[in-house]
Amino acid sequence: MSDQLTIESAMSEAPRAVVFRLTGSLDGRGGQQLMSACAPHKQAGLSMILNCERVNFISSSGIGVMLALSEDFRDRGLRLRIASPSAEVRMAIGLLNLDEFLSLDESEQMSMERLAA
Amino acid sequence: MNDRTPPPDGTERARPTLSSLGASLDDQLRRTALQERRVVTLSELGRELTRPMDEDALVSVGLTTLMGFAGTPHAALWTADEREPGVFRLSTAHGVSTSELGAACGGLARLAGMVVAGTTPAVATTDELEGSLDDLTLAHLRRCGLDLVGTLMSAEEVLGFIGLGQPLARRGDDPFDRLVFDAACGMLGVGLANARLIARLHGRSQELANANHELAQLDAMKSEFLQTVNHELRTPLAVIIGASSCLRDGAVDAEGHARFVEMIHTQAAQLNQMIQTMLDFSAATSLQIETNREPVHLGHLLDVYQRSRAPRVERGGRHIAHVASPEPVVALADPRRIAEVLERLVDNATRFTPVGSRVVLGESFEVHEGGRWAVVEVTDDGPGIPAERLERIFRPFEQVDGSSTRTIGGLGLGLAAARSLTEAMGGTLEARSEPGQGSRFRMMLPAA
Repeated sequence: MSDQLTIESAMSEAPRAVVFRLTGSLDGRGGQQLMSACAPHKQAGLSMILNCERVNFISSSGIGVMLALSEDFRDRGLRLRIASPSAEVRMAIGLLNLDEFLSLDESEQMSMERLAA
Repeated sequence: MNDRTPPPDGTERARPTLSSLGASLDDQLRRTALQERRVVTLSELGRELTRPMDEDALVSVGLTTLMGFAGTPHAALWTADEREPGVFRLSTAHGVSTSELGAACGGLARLAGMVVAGTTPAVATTDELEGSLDDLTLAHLRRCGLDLVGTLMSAEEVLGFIGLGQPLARRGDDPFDRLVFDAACGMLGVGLANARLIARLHGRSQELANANHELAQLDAMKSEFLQTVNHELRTPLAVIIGASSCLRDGAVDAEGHARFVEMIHTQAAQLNQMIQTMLDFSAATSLQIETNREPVHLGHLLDVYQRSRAPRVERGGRHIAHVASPEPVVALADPRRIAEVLERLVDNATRFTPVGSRVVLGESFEVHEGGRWAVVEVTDDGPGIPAERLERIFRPFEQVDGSSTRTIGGLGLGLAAARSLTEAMGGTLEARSEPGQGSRFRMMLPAA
């Protein structure tokens, strides 16, 4: 749980979006780090894919950040998809019945296809 | 009673199927997992609050934690203004209109009073807050979809409020949710109080460190001043004592007699000027300068001053001139004090420029910051002053050459005293210079 979050980013041209590959712990500190990292892309009008395959812990604050980001992207007419959620992420989201609100995809490729659709 | 025993009323109870038992078990497991999640949330929040965080980070983490706990994307957090008691400001919000919530701050002071008095619970729905919150504030909260409000408190002081929206997925009303929310708000309140206390402590520590640094600087300046005074006062005194001893002992001839008397007079005059500078500076720093404000024709004053000062400047191998303005420039100031400032500026210019240099006096009008100013300029063509020392030369005991081995004497009080005198007349004194390009001192006085 003490693994600090690292964010590896990549750009996709078609569909035009930013992919963040997260590794480590999505806790309070990691959540704030993620929000700061998303801010410029949100301002630039880019949709986003959060690849959570290597997120080994997600706290309530991490869930709260995902909810806040999803709502904010939606308000701006953008989309945010969560790709390859790890078992920890999937369980936390499922427990709160948030699967329908947070757009989960089995893989990054699937998220790309959904964004392109 | 086992499954085989019929009920007392004789009816046959429907036997649970395997699938209904499975669903019931799933539901039970889910409720248990949710309850565990609530406790885990409190544990996570407690752990977050042990990290070093400033107030902004704390409210941000606190709010997202409670959003995750409630499963809502709509939330806001207001904090009490530290400088204005009773005033609450929106600190952070997600998924809601910040302008709407900013406007909702007005009614929170009253709510804080009622929570402290115990007439309103620390956690309540907007419906329950009718009567505690004014209609307008309630309307703002409802329009933003915030229907649960929690109070952040520490030591019976309300430090803020959190508003949460409806959960995205209904999970059934559970009184335990409210207890956890209440506990989380309490933890955040204490965390917020700690963050503010630590910030205040850091601020005080910084102030103390700055004061310490200033004291150390003053101590160093005092030591340097004593060394300077020792040197500057002893040098002319040594000349006076030596020359007067020679005269007393009859060790000089008639020709040397006049030269020695002149030497004693010059050194005594220099001593007198130094003492006067010290007295002026002392008066300036204790706000004892008396000035008379009257219309002063600067062109005339500078002309008279230049003619009276020229012989001494020329004796030192420099030149002084007055370039008069074509239009009369009249200041509302004290002519005696202007002459004193001029004396220090010209003294400074002649001491810090090489032989053959030229000092020029001038006057003009200037409009600055909406006011009309009469400006006196003293310009020289000396070596100039490095930018980093330009403002420091007005500090007491400072000279451009701040080293202990400086070659030009003086107490380092002349320019400090000149600025104080100018300010006492309602004016300003500044220097402009570039190394190798000479220096320009500008005394700006209120125009008549």
